[in-house]
Amino acid sequence: MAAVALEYSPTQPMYRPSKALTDNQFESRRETSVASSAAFTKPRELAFVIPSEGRAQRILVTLTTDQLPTWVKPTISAIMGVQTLPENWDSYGAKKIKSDLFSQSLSFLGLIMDTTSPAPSVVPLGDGGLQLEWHRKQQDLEIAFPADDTPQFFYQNKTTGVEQEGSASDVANLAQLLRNIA
Amino acid sequence: MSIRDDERLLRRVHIALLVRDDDTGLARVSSGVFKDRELSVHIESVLKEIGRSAESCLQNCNTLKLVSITAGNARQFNQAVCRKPIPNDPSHGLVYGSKNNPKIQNGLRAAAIWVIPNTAPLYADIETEKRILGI
Repeated sequence: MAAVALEYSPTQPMYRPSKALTDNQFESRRETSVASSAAFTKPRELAFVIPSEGRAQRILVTLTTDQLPTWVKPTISAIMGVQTLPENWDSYGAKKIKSDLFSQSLSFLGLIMDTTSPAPSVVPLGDGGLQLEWHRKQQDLEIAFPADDTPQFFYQNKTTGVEQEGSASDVANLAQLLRNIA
Repeated sequence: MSIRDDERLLRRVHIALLVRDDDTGLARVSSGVFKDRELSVHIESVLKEIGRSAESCLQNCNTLKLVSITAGNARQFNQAVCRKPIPNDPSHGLVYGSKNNPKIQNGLRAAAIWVIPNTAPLYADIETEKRILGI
């Protein structure tokens, strides 16, 4: 089961150039310790402040485990990267990625990823959508967030020939497919 | 004039559409390249007739690579292939048809072969390019 809950929101404008993430751009807020066993079960929050196109994007990660899953930083970095793509980025009239898909896709990953899940490739789509992909262990898993439709998934196992596709609403199934690929 | 099944259709691919294959360490084209209902392509034989190279399709843009499928690949997935010349590009054509089915998208992706570069690049190299470009 996922160990993170992700929340994303734009914040105050700031004047920094857009660039790929570095460790200097992460900040961690820890709860004040208290003399109670509740302190050891209380979730830890991490806030990622990402400069992008003159604004500060804030991503709040709530952890229920001790360590930040290894997939979080590279995934956020990749999402911020595709966010910088302009109109017609693909030379065929592709649209800018819809900004609400960043929070949607991150939150979705928080539902299906484990601490050891591999980070997805993050792919922009020409309609302004976003696609997350994993290609490993002779298996392919794609979760598409179209600009104007509900999330869809596609899975194939080249060894067994098993294929699945359809709505991405069954998060338990997707979480299992991810465990197969991990 | 009809388009033969073995006609090569060239498609530009932005490096943001290249993903890593963890089994090989190579970059592979995302199925996202093949989602457009009207998929613009260059018809290679027309390019040759007008004396243009495959490289000319990249418009001197360092974020673009080039892959090809054949007209036969497209028709195998119930797509129509037609010439659609546009101003300054007589080689322009369309692979036309619904591509909502991920099997069609992935089928076309699997059929695609590299033109520029002429083999699949290492994903580590693509990752470096993306980093330099801030993608």
